[in-house]
Amino acid sequence: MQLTVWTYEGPPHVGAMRIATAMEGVHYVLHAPQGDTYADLLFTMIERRDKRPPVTFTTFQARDLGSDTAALFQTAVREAVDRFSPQALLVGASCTAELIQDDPAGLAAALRLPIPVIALELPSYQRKRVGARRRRSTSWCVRWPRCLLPRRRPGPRSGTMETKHCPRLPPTSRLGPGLRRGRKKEERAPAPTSSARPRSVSVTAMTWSRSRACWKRSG
Amino acid sequence: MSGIAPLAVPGRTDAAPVTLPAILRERGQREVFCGLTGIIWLHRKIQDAFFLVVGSRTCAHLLQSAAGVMVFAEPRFATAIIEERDLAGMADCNDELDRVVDRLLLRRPDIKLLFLVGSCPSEVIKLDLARAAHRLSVEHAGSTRVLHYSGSGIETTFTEGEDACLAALVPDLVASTPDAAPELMIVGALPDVVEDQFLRLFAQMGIATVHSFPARRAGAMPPIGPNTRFLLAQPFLGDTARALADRGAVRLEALFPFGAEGTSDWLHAAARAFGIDEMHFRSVIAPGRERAKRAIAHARDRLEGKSIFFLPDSQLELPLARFLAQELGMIPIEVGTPYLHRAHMAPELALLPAETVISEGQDVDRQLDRVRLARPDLTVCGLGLANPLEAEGLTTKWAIELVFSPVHGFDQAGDLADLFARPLRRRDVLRV
Repeated sequence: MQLTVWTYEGPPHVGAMRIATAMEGVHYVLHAPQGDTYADLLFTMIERRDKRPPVTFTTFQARDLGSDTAALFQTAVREAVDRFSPQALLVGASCTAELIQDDPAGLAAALRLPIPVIALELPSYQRKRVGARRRRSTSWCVRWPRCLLPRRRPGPRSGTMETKHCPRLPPTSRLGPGLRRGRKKEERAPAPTSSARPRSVSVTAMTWSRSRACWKRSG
Repeated sequence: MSGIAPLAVPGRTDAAPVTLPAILRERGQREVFCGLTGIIWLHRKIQDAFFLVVGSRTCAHLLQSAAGVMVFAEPRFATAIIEERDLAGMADCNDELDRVVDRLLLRRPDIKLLFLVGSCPSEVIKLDLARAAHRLSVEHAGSTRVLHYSGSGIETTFTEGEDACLAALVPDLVASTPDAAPELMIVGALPDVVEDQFLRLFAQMGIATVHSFPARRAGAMPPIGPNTRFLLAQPFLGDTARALADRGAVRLEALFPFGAEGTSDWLHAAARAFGIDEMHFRSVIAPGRERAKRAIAHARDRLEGKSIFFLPDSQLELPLARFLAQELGMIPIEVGTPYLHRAHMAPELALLPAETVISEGQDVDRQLDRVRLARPDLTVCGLGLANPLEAEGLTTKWAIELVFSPVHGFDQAGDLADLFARPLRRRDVLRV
């Protein structure tokens, strides 16, 4: 446990909200307890956006924990897709939902939606380290922002994610000068072809390892 | 996920139950803060208390986003952030918490009262903060008292954080002597200036002993016993009221002190309970009541006949809607509240116009559909919704301003009316 008066970073699910907001045609369903909607005001008040961020929160409370939060999540997904008709859906869990282990990815996949579903891994309780020797006194690394990269994964899917809508997300996990070093074979995925064959993507949080000068999976 | 049920509420005089308009209940996404937000004003109110949230980075981020400016001045709140080590069992959560608290109290010896505030993560992992508080209280006995309450969004909605905090203080209140004279207690964290105004009025009325709960210092909390009569200054204090009643205190039923009428009724409840002469009471409140009415009249031109829609936020919605309808002639289309306390709200509900839709809970998307359909003249909503609604051509009022501005009592009635008039005045003046 770390005594914290202030923090350089917000939690990773807020970073994911920023990415969803920066894109068009995307909706993000976040499994989170009541109160996590405070993050909306980062967009509507601090950035003065004229639209709410494209995020639906399940806002579960005590009475929901006593019944079926998984069903609550699935209802939220269905209603969000019906109402907003996104081209792709992001799903994830905030720090508390991560603890109740509902598996938003699996729940969303089970709905067999007609659009691609991108599952976000957002490890909320891990600490990043900037080199083993130089241990910072602040708990949370501030130097390199987390980067959510789409990672190819084989499997049944039903739609393509148009990369032209997200210019900042590279099509593969190749990024950075130290890429070739220490990368496992399956992560050196080729760039996507223009094949019309739809794919599903999953996204994993990556952090820049300064000591090793390469990207590595967080946690 | 919506349902309508008829509501029967006992009337004020304990006569036959009054049937009131149906309450619309919806369950979906709730666009409201969690109870941790209460720390922002509670730590200002109780000047030697410290609020330690035991939670995640999200909790720390919330407090920083909501209280940003105060964070740089060594504020009396912080978060003990739970890490993977604590969750994986590699570190004992309780040992870690003890270490954090020891370090905190070493650094800040002026803290007399420490609240361990439960959050969503601490509750899901079932971290026993009650036991931790007891253990730490014993360890730091003599210098710091350690209490706990839950401010998690799972358990508390926004202002219910204050309810949980005050309810946690009640068991520790000193018991008054068995034959003590009746005393009045004002319950709810009010701005100091407003509290002083009420204390002056009660003194003028002739009520000998009046206490505020919470007190401004941890060591000055009021005594409690069967001789205590308490007035709720805020509409969201259900648990606190129950805890006080459990210690023998008696609640005085009244409207909430918003506006000239609400404040008069609230003060009158105290006057009745303490046997103050009716004429004397009226002469004491007359100047304040007059001032309030005159101040309200300034806003009446702009507000009369205008429609208003309240989205749920702080539970202040019902009394404020009553004030606006009764004293300013506004038309409440829908009054949404996160939770409706039947008994405490009974006098308020009785005074709302019959056609008002009252909703409890929220499905924000459906409620926004109703807002767009109704196109009210003024929409009271949270900060996450205000600018998007303005972009759609609706005039909005930030609900949170009603919690953070002094709005209770005669001397603030004009300011309260102006808080609603200002967005309409701005709309009329701005040409876009």
